[in-house]
Amino acid sequence: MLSMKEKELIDGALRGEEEASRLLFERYAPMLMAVCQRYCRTRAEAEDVLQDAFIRIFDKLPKYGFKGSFAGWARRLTVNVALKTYQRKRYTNEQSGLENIPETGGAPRAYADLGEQELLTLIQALPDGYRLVFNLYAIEGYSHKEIGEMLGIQEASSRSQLLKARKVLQRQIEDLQRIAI
Amino acid sequence: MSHIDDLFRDGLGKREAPPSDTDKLWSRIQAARTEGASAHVALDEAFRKGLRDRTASVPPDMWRRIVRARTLRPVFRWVSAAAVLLLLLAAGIGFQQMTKDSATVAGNMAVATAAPLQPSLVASDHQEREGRPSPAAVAAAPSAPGAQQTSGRSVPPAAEASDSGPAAGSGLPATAAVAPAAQRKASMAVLALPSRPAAPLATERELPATAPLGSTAFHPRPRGIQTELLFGISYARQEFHLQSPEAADLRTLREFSEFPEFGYQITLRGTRNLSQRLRLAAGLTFAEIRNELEYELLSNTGTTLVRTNNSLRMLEAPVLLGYSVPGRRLNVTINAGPVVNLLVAPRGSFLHPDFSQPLDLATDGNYRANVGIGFMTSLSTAYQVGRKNPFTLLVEPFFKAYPSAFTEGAAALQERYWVAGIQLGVRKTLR
Repeated sequence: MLSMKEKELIDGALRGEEEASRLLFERYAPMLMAVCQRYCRTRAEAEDVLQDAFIRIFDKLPKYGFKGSFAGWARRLTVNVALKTYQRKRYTNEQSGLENIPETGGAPRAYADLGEQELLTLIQALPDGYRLVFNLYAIEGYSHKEIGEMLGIQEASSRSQLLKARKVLQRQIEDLQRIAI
Repeated sequence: MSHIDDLFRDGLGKREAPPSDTDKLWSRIQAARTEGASAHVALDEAFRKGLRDRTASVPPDMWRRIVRARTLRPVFRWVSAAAVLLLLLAAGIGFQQMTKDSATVAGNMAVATAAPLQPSLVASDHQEREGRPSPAAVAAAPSAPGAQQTSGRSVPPAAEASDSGPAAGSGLPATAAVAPAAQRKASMAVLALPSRPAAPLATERELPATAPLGSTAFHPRPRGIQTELLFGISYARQEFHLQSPEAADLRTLREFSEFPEFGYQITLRGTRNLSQRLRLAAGLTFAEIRNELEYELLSNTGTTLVRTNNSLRMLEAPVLLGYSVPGRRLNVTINAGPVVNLLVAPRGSFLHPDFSQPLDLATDGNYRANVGIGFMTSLSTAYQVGRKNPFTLLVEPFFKAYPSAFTEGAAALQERYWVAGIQLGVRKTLR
């Protein structure tokens, strides 16, 4: 549900008022910057995606129509912009043998010990394809069918990418644990 | 034998209760499955909790960047549209100027034929005294009675008689006497209107025929075959089309991993003028379409970025018909026609979702040996250099399209290209 303040800001931005647009930006930019950082490898890339995302948000603002949460709508637009940015970039091919890495359960407690920055670093270190699918499935909550439609891949490929992403993350977390010990 | 059977039967067959650890075994199996699944859930949950609602610091100049980008976008559109319009306008003015130059050249030629008439009046006077017909006199042949008509000579006898006299009798320098006499004669020639059609000017017969407006008056079209050698750089756009839905993953993988690079082509062709404005060009082209294959190799030691080059080498025979818009030194020709593709040789590798190692383009890419007939269009700008033994510099942007796919018809993924580029070269007439 939108607060009155948010509604006023959105109305002002729709009328082209720069002050309202700027306040809207300041309200949602930190959240959307975090989204961009998850989808990008570097801070510079994340800043470029954030800039493009906000341009798109203001261009598409008339289509929002006050349906649902503005934060959710803006987040979805930002994710789409991030995906489009990486659709032209390189794709990853894994070396054979990755499937042979035994799936270790991993202690759930170990995951909970990880801080935000560590989690972000782990995600950013993933290859592009794995990072996109893991973000979309594990964090954004899209289904494999929806991910397949968004990325133009088969549902089975989405499952496969997620599995491989988890393996890589588990191995990296174990490496971190070993280093910590 | 039966003893052995009895032995095993007695040892094993008398067991009445099933193994007590089957339940435990089943529990262990279930637990392992649940543990794996729960580990996944735990991993996902850890990342979701930690990152979903996270906020991050925003660069202080981000708002300014957004405002500037939003302001520049419409300005950029207007500037682009204006640039395109200016380019079209410049091309139109250039075209107009070229045709005007050709008309001016033809006009200058016509003026040049008239200029020598004045000095010839003086010379004609000398000729008349010597008894030879003068062109000016021939042109304005009076029909005054008593005029002596000789072949081309129609000067009134009185004027003629006076010419030969004063120069000798007056003591004036010969030239001074001649000039005024020539002027009198010229004025008389102008006043004496011919009663019958005047004979054509001798000067017109001596000069070459003026070409019609808009043609290269100074440089008549060369006959015979001209040779052109061109070298060009090109950009090839790779497009994948699905023949079956199963190839969707392959298409995605190839689109993500292959990127166009600049290619090149070398052309040797002969051209022949079919008419004033039409020319035919045919020859051979060796072209190379280049792509970069880029992917990351994951190993236990880390990630390695791999970059390799793919290429499609082609031998083609273009046959182009050109329409020329000539100028003084600059000549523009619009060419179009088929390109017969004779040979395609792929080289390199590509990624396939079902294989962990890249596959070879030549053996596994399903490429055709040749792609049949394509289409080419180009705009040649020719600039003539030198006067005594001239040669022509050529600048030729071009565009090529291939309707057929480069891959076999049965291939699940059809690969198509179009190519654009620019060629530079020289043209020389074979003598």
